[in-house]
Amino acid sequence: MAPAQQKPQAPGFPDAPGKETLLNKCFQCHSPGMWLDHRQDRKGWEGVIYRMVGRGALWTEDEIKAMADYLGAVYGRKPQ
Amino acid sequence: MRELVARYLSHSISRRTFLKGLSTAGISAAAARSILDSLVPTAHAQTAAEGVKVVEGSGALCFAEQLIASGVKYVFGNSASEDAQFYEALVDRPQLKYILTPHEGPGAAMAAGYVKASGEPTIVMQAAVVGLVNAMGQMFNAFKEQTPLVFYSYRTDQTGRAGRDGFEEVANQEQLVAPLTKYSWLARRADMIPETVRRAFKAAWTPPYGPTYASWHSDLNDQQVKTEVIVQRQFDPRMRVRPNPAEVERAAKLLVEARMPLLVVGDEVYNAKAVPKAIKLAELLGMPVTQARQMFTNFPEGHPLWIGGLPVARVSSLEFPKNADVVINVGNKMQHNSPTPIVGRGAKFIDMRIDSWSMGNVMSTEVPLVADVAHGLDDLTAAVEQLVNASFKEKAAARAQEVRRFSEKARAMRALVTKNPDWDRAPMIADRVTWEVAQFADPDAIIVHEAGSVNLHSFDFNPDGGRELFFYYGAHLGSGVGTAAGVKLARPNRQVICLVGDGSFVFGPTALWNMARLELPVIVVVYNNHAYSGPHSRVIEKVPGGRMVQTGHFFHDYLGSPDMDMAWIAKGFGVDGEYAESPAQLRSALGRARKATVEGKPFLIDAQVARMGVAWAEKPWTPPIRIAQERTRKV
Repeated sequence: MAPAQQKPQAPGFPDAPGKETLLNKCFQCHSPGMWLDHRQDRKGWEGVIYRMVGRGALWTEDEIKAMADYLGAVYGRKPQ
Repeated sequence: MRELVARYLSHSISRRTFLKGLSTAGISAAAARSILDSLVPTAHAQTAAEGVKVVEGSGALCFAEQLIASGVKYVFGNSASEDAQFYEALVDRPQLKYILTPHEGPGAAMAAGYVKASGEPTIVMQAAVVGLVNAMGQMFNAFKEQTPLVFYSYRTDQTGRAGRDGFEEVANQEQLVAPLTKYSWLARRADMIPETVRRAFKAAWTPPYGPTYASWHSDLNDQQVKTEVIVQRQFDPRMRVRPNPAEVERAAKLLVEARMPLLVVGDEVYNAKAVPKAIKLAELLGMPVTQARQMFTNFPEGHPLWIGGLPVARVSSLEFPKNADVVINVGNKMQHNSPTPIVGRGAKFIDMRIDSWSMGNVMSTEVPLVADVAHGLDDLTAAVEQLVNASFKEKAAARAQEVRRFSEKARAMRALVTKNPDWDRAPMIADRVTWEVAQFADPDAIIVHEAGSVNLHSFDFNPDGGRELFFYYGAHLGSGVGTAAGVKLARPNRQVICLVGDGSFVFGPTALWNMARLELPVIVVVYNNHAYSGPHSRVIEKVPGGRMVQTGHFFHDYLGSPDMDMAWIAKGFGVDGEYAESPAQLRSALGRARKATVEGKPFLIDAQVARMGVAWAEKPWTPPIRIAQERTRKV
């Protein structure tokens, strides 16, 4: 019997707008662990996502914005 | 005129070509005829049978004669004292042009680039085993990339003293290369040198292509012998295989009945000059086209049926189509880098290639089509045309429209790369360097790409008359600069631009010297981020959140402190170069590079690229090894 369809497990990625887009688009190539210790502001994350476009990722501007918003909020710079 | 005579006597050119050459050199028709008449007895005396010439001289002279008969124009080699008689033979054989390469690795890369771009045979010569092992990195590349490249090196140990562990001796030297070659052999006698060389060329150039190795004891080069030299056409099997007709019928039926067929192309398409045939089949079926990693681009990237490369090297990862029910591979060796096969079990798989050895090893194959892909595509297209009716045409047109809609959307998405918030920064992001070069390059430029961590975009490669890509598949680093030199040697009338990472560049810069000496006007652009950025990211992916990330102590990735200056390295090899940090500086430098190449000179741009990505410090840590400070004597 086929297992029930489950959403990808991604510990460390709290629910917030943009999460689903991120999980669907990025985890094809990357494991979530790579990002857990990385912090940068929204612009930094936006730059990362656009560099993935240069590597062949096919995303709309709206999807890029949603992912950058999410990462900027969840994985923004740690307070000094 | 001396070269003409030599070529005529060695049967490299016909009487007619010889006479035409004399006429071009300003010699009257009567005088030319007289010269020819005086040479005829000599030419006939040398000919035992059609295409067979009996030669007498040193073993090395016979070696040189066989290379000429095998169609070799350029020989790539590094200085080897035991090849003295070969160099002696070159003096009176100007049609055999020797290119001295200062390191065997870039020398072999140059030879491979020449073969890939010209389709002509060549040979790489090394000094004994010590030179051979330097060349073996590129031998590995040639093996993985299926490049028909012949390698030769003598054994320093002579027949009378072999087996005593002497100078430069290693037991069973020819066996070192066994896993990396299609054929390796040791000539046992001097008179067998031409035969051994012939077999090396025959094996390398019989599909599936690959490197071969010929060797003999060095004293055989000096021995006087009389032996036969045979022209290439008399021993080449000229293997051009047509596919099994019954399998062609099955493949055509599967493709016509498919809901969503998908074409994967590979390097056999480029090598067989079959790109227009692949386009014809795709258009007939309204079939989307993709490609897994290869050296060449094998389908025009601007074609509406082109959907882009395979992400993560899996058909199932494609954004479109999600529902391919029949996948046909034409000429792609399919490098499987994951336990998941490139083509999953859900789709029916047709595999058309000449490399039967690697077919059916991983993927379940519904229809194997062992063939020269040019013939295979002709036969398959003809079989599909037999099955085409009005309703199929309607289905194919609707499918083509669906593919076109996706490819236009994907094209617009790829163009978003310029919206990166770091687009104008200095040092530059790698994508900006790529984009600037793509705006600059000629419409039919050849791009040699060995910037491993950089994905190219914006070039719109088109092997059917537009820009061409020469990427690498083997991954022994240091091939890029040499390959570019070899490509320019083969195609001097095309703009050649070499894109290379700083890490790769420093493995093989000596070919710059060849560019300067041979007046090979290549533009080299080094993406210089003073780091191995690929290994940096991949290590973090393997040990996320580990001690390296916590401390910032990365041992393996930072090439700065001090920074390497590639423009100065280029100057040391006689190539002008400059440094570019901003997009404006890069554009300006590219303009000067164009001017230099118009004047016949190579040019290098040391493009400063920012280290972007996870866990890069502004000034990366380096291991605290500073020996000067540990000295007890200041010497």
